[in-house]
Amino acid sequence: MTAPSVDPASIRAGLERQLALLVPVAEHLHAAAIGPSPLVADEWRGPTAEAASAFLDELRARLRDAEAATDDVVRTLRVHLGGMP
Amino acid sequence: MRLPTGDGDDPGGSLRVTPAGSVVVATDALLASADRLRALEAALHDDLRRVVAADAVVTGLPIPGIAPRLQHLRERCESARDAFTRVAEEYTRGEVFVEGLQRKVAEIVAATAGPALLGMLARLVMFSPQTLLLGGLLGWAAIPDGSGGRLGTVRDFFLQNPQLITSPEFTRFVSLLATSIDDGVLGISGMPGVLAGLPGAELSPAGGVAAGAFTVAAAGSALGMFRETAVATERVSTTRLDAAPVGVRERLDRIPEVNQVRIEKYEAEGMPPRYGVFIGPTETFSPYADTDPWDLTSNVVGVAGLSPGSLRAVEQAMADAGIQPGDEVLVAGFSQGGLVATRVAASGDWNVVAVETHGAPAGHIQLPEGVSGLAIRNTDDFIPALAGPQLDHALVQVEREAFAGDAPLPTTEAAPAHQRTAYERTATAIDAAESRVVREQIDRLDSFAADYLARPGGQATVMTYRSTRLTGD
Repeated sequence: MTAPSVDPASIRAGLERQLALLVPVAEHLHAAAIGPSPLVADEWRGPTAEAASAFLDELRARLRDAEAATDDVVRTLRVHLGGMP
Repeated sequence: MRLPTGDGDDPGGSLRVTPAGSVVVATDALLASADRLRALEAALHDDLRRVVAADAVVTGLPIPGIAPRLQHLRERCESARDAFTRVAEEYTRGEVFVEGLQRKVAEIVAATAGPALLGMLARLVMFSPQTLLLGGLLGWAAIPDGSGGRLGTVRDFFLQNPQLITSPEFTRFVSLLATSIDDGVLGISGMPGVLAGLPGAELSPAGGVAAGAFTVAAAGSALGMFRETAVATERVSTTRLDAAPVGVRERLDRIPEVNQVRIEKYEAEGMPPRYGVFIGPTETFSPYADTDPWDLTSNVVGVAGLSPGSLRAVEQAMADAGIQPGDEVLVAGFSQGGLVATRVAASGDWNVVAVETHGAPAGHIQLPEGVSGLAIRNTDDFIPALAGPQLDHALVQVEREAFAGDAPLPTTEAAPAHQRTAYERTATAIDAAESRVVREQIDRLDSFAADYLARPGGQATVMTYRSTRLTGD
């Protein structure tokens, strides 16, 4: 039994394809996490204002979390690509 | 409830928007927030598709964990957007319930009290006219005789106490009154008061506003007031126009004073002409028709759905400008000009495709399909409420309080929330609106003229008109 041979060029193409797909995702998530609030200032008061503020905090935290996860994959892809002949 | 508008000199409140075809009122900021969340959802959906595509690459790395995060983010945005919609719906439901209740009570009171008051007045006239006369004289004598006479004293009193007629509460009261006059008439004609509140117990469609105005016109006519006349309209000037109006404020600025009608003709090679018709506000508030058709008579007769002099004058000007029935027309007006603009659009005699009104008593006029635009009102301006509540929803409704919260009211002009300056500030605030609903309308109104001027052979001409009543008729 021998392992099936894998074409390195095909692997590189696959990794490059993944990188091309994921880099814009990481960039968008970064911009969304630090960009202007998706909520326009309004006359919210009391519980509504608190709910809006909590939502914003949660949204930004989740955007940063998704950005970090995507960045991890992008970094790994770059490491793999860098190590390839 | 007020919003910082971003302009320290602007005493106005936040913009409240009712999209076309809807009755749900929301602030522009709330709608803009929903728009931004919708855009974020769409972008996250795009991200998700990319991640799924990356994960599907056979010769790539497995990509766990990102897709569920994006999916959850998208759902969270969607649920927040739904929550905003619910906030607006619940606010509207509460407002509609309270207003509906107030309106029914007002109708019943009018139908019950109307005959009683009329009966009392008739008894006084028949059996004790001297008491009526004495009461009237005593009341008149009780008014201090100032430098401008007693009428001047009354005017000065309202100038010094603008808060009495400048509030959303007073506007609501006027609106209730406007839809209750016909119920008073029903009561006088014998209908029991409790029945006046029933659906359909109205003398005219749209809450009986037109019938109420007709009643006022008929009663005033007995005293020589609100009597219509023929009108004559002349072109005052014809000049070249360099630029199309951009934004709500610029359109408001083109609504004329003195020469009551301004017509802009836009032309481009190979295209039928388009026209912008800008109609001025009331020029005189005397209830007795004099020389200017832009008077109180046209207001009352116009709200009553009859043929006011100012409407006939505008149609004369439109005919003189060469507007053909099929030519596309944008009408814009302030105050009575807005009423006339709406009447022109509703007439079906002209191909009006866009309407922009500022402070118009025209909410009871039903517009035909295919008309879009903006109906702009200050909620502390009682003049639009003379036509009752907003019943037509063909246009996007944009409202705000001209003097919100503790903003000081000017004491130099009557009804400050109805003044052009107040509407200029509101127009500027609308130009800064962020919601897609409002921006789409502004863009559409802007492009009506700008599209033509950008085409080959694009050019524009402006004609101004002055109309007078033929009071000898």
